[in-house]
Amino acid sequence: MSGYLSGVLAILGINIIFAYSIYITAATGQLNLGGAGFQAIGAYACALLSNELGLPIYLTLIFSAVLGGAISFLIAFPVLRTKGVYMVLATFAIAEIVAGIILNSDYLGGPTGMIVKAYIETEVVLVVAVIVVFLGFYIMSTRIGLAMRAVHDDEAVADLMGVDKRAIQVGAFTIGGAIAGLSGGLYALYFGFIEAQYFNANISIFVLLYVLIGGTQTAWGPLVGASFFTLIPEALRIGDDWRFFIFGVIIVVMMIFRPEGIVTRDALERVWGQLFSGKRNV
Amino acid sequence: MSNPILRLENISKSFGGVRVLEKVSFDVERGSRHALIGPNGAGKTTLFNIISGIHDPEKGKVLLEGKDLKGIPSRKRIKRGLSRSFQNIRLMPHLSVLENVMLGQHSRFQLLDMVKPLNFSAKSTGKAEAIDTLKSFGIELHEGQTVSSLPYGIRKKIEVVRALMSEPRLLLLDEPAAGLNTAETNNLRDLLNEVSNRGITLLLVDHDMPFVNSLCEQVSVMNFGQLIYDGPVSDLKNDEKVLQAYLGKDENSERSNA
Repeated sequence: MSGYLSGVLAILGINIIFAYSIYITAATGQLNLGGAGFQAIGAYACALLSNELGLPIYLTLIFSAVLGGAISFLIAFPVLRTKGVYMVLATFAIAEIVAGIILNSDYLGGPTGMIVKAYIETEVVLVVAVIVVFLGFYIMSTRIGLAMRAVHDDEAVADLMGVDKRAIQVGAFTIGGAIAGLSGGLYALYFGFIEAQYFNANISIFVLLYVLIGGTQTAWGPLVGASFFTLIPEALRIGDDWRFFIFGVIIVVMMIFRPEGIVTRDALERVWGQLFSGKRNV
Repeated sequence: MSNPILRLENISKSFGGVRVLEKVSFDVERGSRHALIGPNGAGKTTLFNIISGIHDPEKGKVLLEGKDLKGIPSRKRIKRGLSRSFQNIRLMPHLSVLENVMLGQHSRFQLLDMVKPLNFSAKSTGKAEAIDTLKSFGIELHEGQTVSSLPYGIRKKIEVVRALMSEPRLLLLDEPAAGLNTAETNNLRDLLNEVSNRGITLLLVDHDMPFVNSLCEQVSVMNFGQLIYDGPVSDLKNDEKVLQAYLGKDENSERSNA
């Protein structure tokens, strides 16, 4: 495998994992614009544990996820008191606070960043990505996933049906934070260097776009969205200076013709029906 | 001795300066078909919202099977045997018919069953039961479709079926026949008769009097937040207060009397 292809696949894997972190929260109707903050937490946790304590790679990755999840859990309670655009702003502010703390901390390398001594190959990223995609599909295939989608559609009715919407929302936010932390850990280990400037608002916006353009109705959405956003710009490299323009046009066209995302449940039902000419229920 | 499944004691509620309910008290007998009627703005839906826990009453008590529901959050009332449908259909637009119906079962399952994949353990997750229920109500043809694509009458029916999936002992139905044509209303009546025959108590709000007359035996009438009649449906049309509130005064007879 060429170095270029290997690099693209690793970025694809990290982006897919990151997309699932935002998808899990979006599936319950919450928009998290602080993805970069949770990714940074995972990346720095992984780097420190690896550099300072020399922990094995799998342990540093587990800890990245645990720390991302633990911090998400703690801030979920105040953040989930907000809704809609206020929640977007609250999560965005969290990412800015994380970036601010890192930039002002000498221990974390401040603006000059941090070198990560341990490293992983592309294959590790891809294996973790497959596990996370499986996890995303698994969660959504259970009654918990059904309850998450119900909270997304109508909180009040879901509540009357006996769904503990607070537990569902906090749980989804926590799992999302853990997966974002994991993606940060993989990023740190794969690239070998991290800096606060990388985990900026652009990253948070892009990952949210992966999910929204991919579609929040099914677990296929983040997979398709992240792949679309990672691979199309690469494919457009032949267009040189025009590639960002062409990519922008593609996004606008997608939003006009597929406002609910590339993959919707109805579209999936139609495709499934045509392929197997049978019924598919859930 | 009466054994009400639901007892309302002096329920009062205001929104801002507007008094919506004023000391409303009545019983719903176990196994009965009880209607709650009244002109628009009488406070019927607010009363439903108080019974189901969306609003708290300012004063008064809601007793379900003799137990005060004060402090019981809305999501836990379904476990106590209370389920409801809504005035405007509130099905989940992005869920399929089957998923909407399965959502109605949510309160009956423990965490362990909730983390099992629905497609691979259909029995223990309730999926098989939901499919059977849809079949028994003749809606199975639509089970895989998202609800937003279905006709109004079928969506109304699905909402009732969803409410039944929690195995309630008291079912609150907020204007179940509203917007239905004659055939759909007859269909709904048959469905509710079947539900009632299973021993489930019905408390329903509706404006369709022939529907109420043909289905219910007891009726409570509200006007301007107050209860003005509580008794058998058969005596309703002879009650002066109800005639005035619901149908208006007969000006011709007043003139002729004068």
